[in-house]
Amino acid sequence: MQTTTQPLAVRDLVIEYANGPERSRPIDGLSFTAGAGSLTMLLGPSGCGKTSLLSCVGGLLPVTSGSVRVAGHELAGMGAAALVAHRRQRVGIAFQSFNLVPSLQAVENVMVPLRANGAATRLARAHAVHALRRVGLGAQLYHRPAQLSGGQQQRVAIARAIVTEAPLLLADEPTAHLDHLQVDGILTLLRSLADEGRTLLVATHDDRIGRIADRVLDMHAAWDAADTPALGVAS
Amino acid sequence: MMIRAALRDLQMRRRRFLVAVVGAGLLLAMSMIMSGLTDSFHNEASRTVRLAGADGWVVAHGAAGPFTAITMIDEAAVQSVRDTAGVRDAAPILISRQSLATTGEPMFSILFGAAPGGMGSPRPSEGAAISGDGEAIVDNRLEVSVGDTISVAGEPFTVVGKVRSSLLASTHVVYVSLEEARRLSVDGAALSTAVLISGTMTSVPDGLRSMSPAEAIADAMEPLKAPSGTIAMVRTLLWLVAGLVIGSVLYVSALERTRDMAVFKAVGTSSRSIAAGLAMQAVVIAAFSTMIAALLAALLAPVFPMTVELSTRLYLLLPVVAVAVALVGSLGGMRRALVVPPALAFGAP
Repeated sequence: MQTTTQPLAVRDLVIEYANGPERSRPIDGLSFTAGAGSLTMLLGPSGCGKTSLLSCVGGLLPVTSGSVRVAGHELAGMGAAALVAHRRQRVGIAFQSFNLVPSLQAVENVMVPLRANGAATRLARAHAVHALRRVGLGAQLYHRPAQLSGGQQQRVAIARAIVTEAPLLLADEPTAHLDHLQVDGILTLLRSLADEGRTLLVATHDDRIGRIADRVLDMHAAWDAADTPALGVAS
Repeated sequence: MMIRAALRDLQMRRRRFLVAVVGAGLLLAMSMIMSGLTDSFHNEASRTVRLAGADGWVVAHGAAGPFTAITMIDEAAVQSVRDTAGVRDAAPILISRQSLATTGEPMFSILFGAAPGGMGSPRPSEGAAISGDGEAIVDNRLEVSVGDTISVAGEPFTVVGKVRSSLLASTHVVYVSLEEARRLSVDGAALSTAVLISGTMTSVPDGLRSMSPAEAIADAMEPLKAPSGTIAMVRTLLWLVAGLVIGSVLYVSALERTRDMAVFKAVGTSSRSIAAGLAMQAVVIAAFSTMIAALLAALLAPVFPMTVELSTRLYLLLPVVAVAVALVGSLGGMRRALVVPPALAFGAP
């Protein structure tokens, strides 16, 4: 059931973009919703459209057709400035490979979205410190990414994604570069973030995330089931 | 935040930026030396003309000016200038080019002959004024002392005073009496190359031409027009290369930070802020380059073979030029920052 009050509502979504001389359509007719406090896992191999879907929901790729509503705001047809505002206020993103800025300290990396949103430096720093403590990195505030382990870097990336208190958290392959001990820690963290009321959309090919997910969108199954890479997956 | 990120990036890639700072600093120092050199051309001409203490210069009609012409004026013409209304005083002078020797090989010099105690005969900054024949006042950069003997056109002269006076890119000016100058240059004939006047001429006698001190300065600099133009071109090229040095380092840095920029955009940072961060890096490099350039120029100027005058104006202008050059150089990197798609943060298309 899709309603405008859902934190995330996707209906008949098509994503298409130029890929050299060809046109690629990684998502073709996808519909689903995600409620507050839920963790939805997008499962599937590379190339099945997980990252494209996250990019689109995150306001980084345009909606070709269909509808994506985040906290009641329609992304289809949204202008560039409104998309920037969307990224600042309604969505937090934890990227694959962490994508921390190597020259910035952990706390400075986490401050970036707040400063982009106009927060004063002191306030941004206080919130960033709080977010880093929330993910268990209170002792590594002033470390640079190169001084942190993979699991710690992932935690910084998650702290950066949650620091704006955005209702929707997108995570792309959050366990891809971690050993099994680090994976357990990240899974616990992701689950607790959902339990606090956030909506989490996690793209992964790691089925261990299924243990903490409220539901799984098996994009691979949908890919195999159709002649074309169309997705119309329900939970 | 982008300013902080830009500064942190400078810190992280400090070796590369140091290369840019030193490279641009050297180039800017050379451009400053070039500017100091061309400034000295004007300043030396201006000093020498001012030293004559005249309100106007009169030369033969058709002569380009007192320093470049060899057209002579006879005594009758000098008298006609004296008789002209508005002229309080008129003093003939003779300017020629002569060889000058101190202890070593003879060198090219400008001989300036004027009646002792009259207009055109300078008051030296060191020593005494010329009182008669056989005495000379020399440029204070000439390595001789008051009381030494120098040779002008093979004739001995006693140095009685020193004054700062040169022309034609640091060529020493030697002042002697008008009679001596005439003896050495025109076999003692009563001829002059110009007449200095005080007052304002209401008309100019036939066969003569009046020039203002500014026109006399321009004439003194005329032979240096082509070298000055060449130096200006070299200076512009040095600025261009300094811009390229800074620009290429910033561009490579921007290329390496493509993913960072995409991440900044993905979390809501505006493209303008990211470009401002790069501009900030350019300004910081320019600031450090300016310091190196100023220091190097100050160290190099005294040992440069020609006079290099580094004025306060040049020191004030240097950071302005450096920042402008750096900002222009950073345009490529800034453009790169503007076009990076935020979706790149995901590694998506």
